[in-house]
Amino acid sequence: MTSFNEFAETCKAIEKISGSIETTRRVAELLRKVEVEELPLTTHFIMSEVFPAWSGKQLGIGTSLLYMALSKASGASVKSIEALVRTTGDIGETALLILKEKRKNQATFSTFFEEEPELSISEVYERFRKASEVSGKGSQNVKIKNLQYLFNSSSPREAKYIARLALEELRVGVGEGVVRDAIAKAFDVRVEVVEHAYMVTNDLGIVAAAAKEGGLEALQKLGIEINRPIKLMLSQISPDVEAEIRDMKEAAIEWKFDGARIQVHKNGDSVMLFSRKLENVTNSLPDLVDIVRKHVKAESAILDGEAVAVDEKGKPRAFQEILKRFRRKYDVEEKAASIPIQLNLFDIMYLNGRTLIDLPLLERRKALLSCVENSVENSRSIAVDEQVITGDLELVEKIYHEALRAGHEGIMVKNPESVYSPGKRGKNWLKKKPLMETLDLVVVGAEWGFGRRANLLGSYTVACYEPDTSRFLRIGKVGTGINDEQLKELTDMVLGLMGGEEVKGVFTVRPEIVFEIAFEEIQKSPNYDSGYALRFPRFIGIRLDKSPEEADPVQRVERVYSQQLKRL
Amino acid sequence: MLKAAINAELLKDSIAALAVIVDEVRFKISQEGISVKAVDPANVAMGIFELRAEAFDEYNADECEIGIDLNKISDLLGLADKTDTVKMELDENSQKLLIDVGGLSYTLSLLDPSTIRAEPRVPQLELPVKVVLNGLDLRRAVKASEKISDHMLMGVSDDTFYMEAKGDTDKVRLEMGRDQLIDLKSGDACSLFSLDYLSEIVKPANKANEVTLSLGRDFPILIDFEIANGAGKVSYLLAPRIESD
Repeated sequence: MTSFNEFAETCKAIEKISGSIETTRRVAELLRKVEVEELPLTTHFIMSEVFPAWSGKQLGIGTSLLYMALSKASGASVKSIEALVRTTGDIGETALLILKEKRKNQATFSTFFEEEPELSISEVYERFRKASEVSGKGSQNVKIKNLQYLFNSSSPREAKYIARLALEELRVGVGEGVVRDAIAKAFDVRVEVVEHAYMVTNDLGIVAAAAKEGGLEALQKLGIEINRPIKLMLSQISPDVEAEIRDMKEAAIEWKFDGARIQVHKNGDSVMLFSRKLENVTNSLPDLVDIVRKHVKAESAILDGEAVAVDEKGKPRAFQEILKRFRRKYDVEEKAASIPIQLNLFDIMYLNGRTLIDLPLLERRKALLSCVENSVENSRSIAVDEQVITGDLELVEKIYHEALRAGHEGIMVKNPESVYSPGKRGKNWLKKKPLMETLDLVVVGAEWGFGRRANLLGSYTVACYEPDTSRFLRIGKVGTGINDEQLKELTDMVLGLMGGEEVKGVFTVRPEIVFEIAFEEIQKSPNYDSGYALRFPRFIGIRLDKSPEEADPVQRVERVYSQQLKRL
Repeated sequence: MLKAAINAELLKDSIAALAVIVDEVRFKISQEGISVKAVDPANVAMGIFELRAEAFDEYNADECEIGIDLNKISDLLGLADKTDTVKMELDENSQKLLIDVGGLSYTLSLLDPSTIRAEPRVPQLELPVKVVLNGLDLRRAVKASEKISDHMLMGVSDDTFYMEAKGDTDKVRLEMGRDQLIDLKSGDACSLFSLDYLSEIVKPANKANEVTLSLGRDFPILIDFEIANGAGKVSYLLAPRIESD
């Protein structure tokens, strides 16, 4: 077994390197050193994850649990740990400092054996796994003790990276790209081969182990496996779809449904469903399982599609309705009856033991049509979505407006010759949809951030204005779209306006600053006193030219909301 | 094979003594009795437990190992009267323990022992100092320390055993001379321990007239006491807090 210290040393080295060539070299060195059994873990660790994303396993260690474990390991109080996190802005650095201090740390029995065993990479993984799996009475305590064990069995330097891993935030700047290149370098195979193996397995850990064990040959043997989700192919917004279509000569045009992406795995009678984030959502959607089982005529298949929640007349409902279905754990059947789903399938990656992702879209389409039987039962349905191959821009425009009128998001423009590239966002799939609107909203609350943003205000509650009562009505929280520099500037500005009042971590801010906020949709919501909430709010900038009373009034919010409805 | 009957309170106390360390244990069963060795997930506290056949009203067993969820068994013993007799019978084929107490029959599913942490290796330690005292005195000192700190010093200087806790501002100290102790083997000893663990350990120790503490300098403490009128023994080994280098 490989010592965790090897891993920590690599992290320490690459933290200081800015160039990716040198980083890749160090990661490759680590991967070469690690034994094959530990290679998958190490590969995931270096990318800041404990479990592969597709496994659906959650580590579920929060900061308070981690602080508690560190406190018990070191004897330092949770308060002093929290204070140190504020100054260092980093749990790793905090763990290092706390455990290095001349304080009496908790010893473990390992200290009292003649040869103190070294902490191995697999033991770190095992402890994380135990902490994540335990549930029920006393489970909090077991989680804390397993983490405490790790802190007490490691050097302060190792503890730094254990603490960061526990929050799945290693901060060494190693992503999929570096690891892919490092695997190629470490085991002397071409990057393209590694890349392809990754696309079909969705797991660089499996790829690394195969490369080490069997080199090129083993990598080429890796394939898509049923019940192990594949990364979804993604689309990008194009500023000029028309030009792109002209370039393609002919494009495949499909509606972009306003629903939730879903990956369907069918294996005999068993059906598994994965969400966009590749979470297993099978149990929440028995109606989909049923309809797939009945109408997908294949022994085994992996399909890509969009699930849309509809009303009794088959009209799409707001996006949040489909999420209600995906997240449902109890009374699943009842919810299935009250929110029927239409399943629109648009791609196929695997059929009867054969991987199809390297075939052009048109070929995959044929395979898809060959195994899906369109069917409507009451409002529930399963269908291969309509696709038009055309270069006629007027026709494209017409389809686009039809999609919007039907209550969907817009259209997808796909290159008919393109392969299915899991996890890739590229020009082969483009989307066209209406531009996002913006609202000018007033900052009325703020929350401290976590991790890298620990000593900054990371999230801002924004509100619209109600002229009749001169009140500010909350409509959402925004934390995305703000770069580090802006975040510092905003923190300084907002700190001066913060009162002492706090509800659930949100501090009241005197309404003075106006933000311009972009969003994708307005939803009705009981959570905010405006009665509305923004979907995907994004910070655009500060409207220094506007006073809080000039912020958008609640009437404008209502107007935008009803315009959205008209589109339906 | 296991077929046994035992006083409910004794079994309850035994389970509670183990629950200090872990939630799930492997019971080693033999003709001589039942024994357990377990270490807590943090590798800081160990429990070594034995209950010999004489402690039971009726005992018949062959060598085997079973996995028990202590929370489950202590829940069902919660309903028993102190004077009840608990009858147990192991069904090895179905891996169930049939438990009969106060007219209620339980069928308890056992855990697969291989899923429970293996018996820990026990470090060989030279602990030069021995202090024998009443369980109540130990508990009193721990209770007092809990009020002001989360750790407690235990040591011997000259012929006095002391327990001391320091908080941010306050301090509490209990000293016991040779005449207040049941027995003392004096020497150099002084170690610091987490009250997290001590507070739990003194609960079962509280009932014992004689508790033996074995100590060293910056070394683990061994806490021993008898149960079931000498037909059983509980030992805890607790790692200290020490300054790391």
